[in-house]
Amino acid sequence: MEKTRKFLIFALVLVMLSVLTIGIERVFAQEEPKFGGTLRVAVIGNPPTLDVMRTTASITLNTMWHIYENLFTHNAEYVPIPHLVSDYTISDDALVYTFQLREGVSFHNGKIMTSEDVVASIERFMRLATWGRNLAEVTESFEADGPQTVVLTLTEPVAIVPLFFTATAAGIMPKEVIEEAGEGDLKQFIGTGPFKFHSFEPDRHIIFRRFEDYAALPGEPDGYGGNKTAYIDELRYIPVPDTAVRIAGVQTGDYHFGEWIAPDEYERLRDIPGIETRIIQPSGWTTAVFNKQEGLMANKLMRQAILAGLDMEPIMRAAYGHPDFWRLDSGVLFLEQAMHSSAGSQYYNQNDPDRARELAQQAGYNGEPIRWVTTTEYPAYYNTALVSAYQLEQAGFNIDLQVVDWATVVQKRADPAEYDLFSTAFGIPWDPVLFLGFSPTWPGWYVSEEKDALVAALRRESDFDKRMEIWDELQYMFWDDVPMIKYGDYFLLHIHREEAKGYAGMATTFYWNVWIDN
Amino acid sequence: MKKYLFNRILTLIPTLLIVATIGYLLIYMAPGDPAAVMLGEEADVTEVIRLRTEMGLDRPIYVQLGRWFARIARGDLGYSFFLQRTVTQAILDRLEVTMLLTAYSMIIAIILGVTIGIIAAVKHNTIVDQLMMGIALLGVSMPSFWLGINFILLFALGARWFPAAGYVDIADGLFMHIRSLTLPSLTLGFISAAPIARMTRSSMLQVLNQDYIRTARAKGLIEFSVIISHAFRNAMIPTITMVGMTVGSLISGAIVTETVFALPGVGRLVIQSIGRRDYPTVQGVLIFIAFIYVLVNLLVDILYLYLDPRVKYL
Repeated sequence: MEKTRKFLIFALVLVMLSVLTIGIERVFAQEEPKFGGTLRVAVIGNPPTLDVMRTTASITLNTMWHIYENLFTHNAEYVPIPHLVSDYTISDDALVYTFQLREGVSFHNGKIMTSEDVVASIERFMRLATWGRNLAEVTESFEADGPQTVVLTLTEPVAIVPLFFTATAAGIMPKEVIEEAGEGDLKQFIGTGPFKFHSFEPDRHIIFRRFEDYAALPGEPDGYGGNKTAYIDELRYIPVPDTAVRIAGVQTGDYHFGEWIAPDEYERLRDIPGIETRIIQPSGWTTAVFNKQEGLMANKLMRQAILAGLDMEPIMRAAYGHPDFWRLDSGVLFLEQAMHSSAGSQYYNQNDPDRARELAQQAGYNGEPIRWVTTTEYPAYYNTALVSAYQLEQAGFNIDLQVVDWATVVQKRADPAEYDLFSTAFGIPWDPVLFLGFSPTWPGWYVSEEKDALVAALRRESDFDKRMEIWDELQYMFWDDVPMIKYGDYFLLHIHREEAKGYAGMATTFYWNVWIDN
Repeated sequence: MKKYLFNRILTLIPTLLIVATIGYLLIYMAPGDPAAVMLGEEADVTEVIRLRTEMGLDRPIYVQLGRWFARIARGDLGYSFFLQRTVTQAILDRLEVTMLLTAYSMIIAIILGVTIGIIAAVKHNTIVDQLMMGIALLGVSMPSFWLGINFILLFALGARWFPAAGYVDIADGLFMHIRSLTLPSLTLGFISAAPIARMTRSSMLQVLNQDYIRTARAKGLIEFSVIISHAFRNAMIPTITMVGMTVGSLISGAIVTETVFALPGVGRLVIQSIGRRDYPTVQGVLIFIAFIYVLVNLLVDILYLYLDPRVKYL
């Protein structure tokens, strides 16, 4: 009897151990990345060009950065870290940066990256790209010093040099490719990234394939940097303009990922087995930009009046619906960023029609039409403008809402005689110095010597506390000058099938380190 | 006949010229800036001006129009900065999708339209007639994007018989190719079937009351033979005309259908190009579509000769 009992206990323990072992194996098997397969990603449209230095269109940058890499990139906390640079030093006067390049980094055409390629790439970046021209303003020279060393000499100290080099437009490409392009667009798309460019068929797909000789950094992935591995054989971006079709395609398995999904679908999608929803927080903030060069809104009091009359909560609710996709915040930088500031927040979300009327009266406003150019191509732009117009009309303003397509918005906003406000949105402002809204040449034309002096001071200052002091002052000025209305922060919704693993869900989507667990 | 054909072909030239000029002026007058679209959200005004100059958009309209006509005369539809290829190449890249979608839709439209029309005429003034005409009315009334989305919900998401979107080349397998174009073709075909059905019904009704039909029946021919061989053959002329006109609506319908089903065809090229103000592509596709439309109608006219011996072109 005792023997039978012992045997039964032994058998039971054996069975339990077997079950446990199988379970553990399965868990590990699920977490073990697998190589192979084609990852299909449904995106909203086609890139207007593939040349990352010639456009700021996010669809170009977010796809093409799979083939290019930068001297620096962002880690998981969105702090710049070296990537193609192995080490760098800064001179005592903070005017000379010496960068050591990683050795043995191969381009997709088999050529090994040298300082000549880096100089050619960064020079083109400084000639063509918005951030690059900003850097060029304070650059005396950018030269090779031996095959693996480049030296940047500045005309004045710049606190955010590594940040400039994180721009996708500052991707490193072979010198010969740049020379071949001349003053025109790139003819070949060659970088050092984990994927290499294969083909682009407009309206059909952009295909990238794994670069077998990729020089990966050792260690773990860290944000956009660290170790990058192309597990998938092929990355295929497929333009699918209709959001309902992107969703249906992910559900049926035609696509693994669907980007830019309407937040209205969130509640339904998160209950569907096999589909995972990812809220990308932060993504950007929605705005209406005043024409400060001429017309009614050249008067600061009028801009302050408009701002005073707005109640942001119903505006953001109308634009983004589900509360998980927006929040009210006055910061030009996001709450998640180290330099987030609340300066000037008393002017945000005032919802004070009486003050709006009073300020408009002081500005001499007599009911002239306020031309507001917006578009339904981006529903959030239209909805914010529509609700704002209603609120402002209640406060006595005469809003002439001009609803046109996006191509017309970008044409009209360049002509100061054509409008008083236009609707748009900003992505993540990585640093106040690089915030587009401070540019005196960008539509809306925020021209202010005082503002420029603070931006310049911020660019020079490297001590964090001192930078914050300057930034608080500058952000307060932003809310006092009201070059634009910040409505609130918005977050994007991406969806993917559960067999697509390893997705980081950071602000800019990437598919290295992603694998298909079939 | 030869003289007629020669004259018809000659009339193609002014027709296409008129289409080209009006199309050019319309797209030119529409507000919007291709340079600003290409450069993206963060481009400043000086960059936009530089690219406009590079694209030749800073020149007066008569200079741009003149250069464009000179290129057209050489058979050159221009170059698209957005697509980084010639417009001719861009159209050729997408022609397969649109031609096949149009052909499949046309087959569905003809089979469906003619069948519904004949049944409705034969069962004139009965519940079957009303049902058939109800289906035709439904086809005329439904927007193609709505029907397309519903087909996706039913047959892609629900039954999982077909993919929700996308196109598979014939070279990648005939079955997968047919599968990828089934829902778009059904969408377009069903909508285009409606006018064919209505036209078939009315022309069949006229013919069915003719003396020779009564004679055919009196001879003891079976009803099927009377309807198909005697009645339908003579009722075909207006139906063929309608089929020719349907090509136009199929091409315009393809614009929406290709967008809904994410098909890389000529229709979607038009929508994308209008959205980003890709002037050479819009103008090139416009001429191409006009050419196809005029050509199909010419073919329909020639087809009359074979269908009705009474028709003579002098």
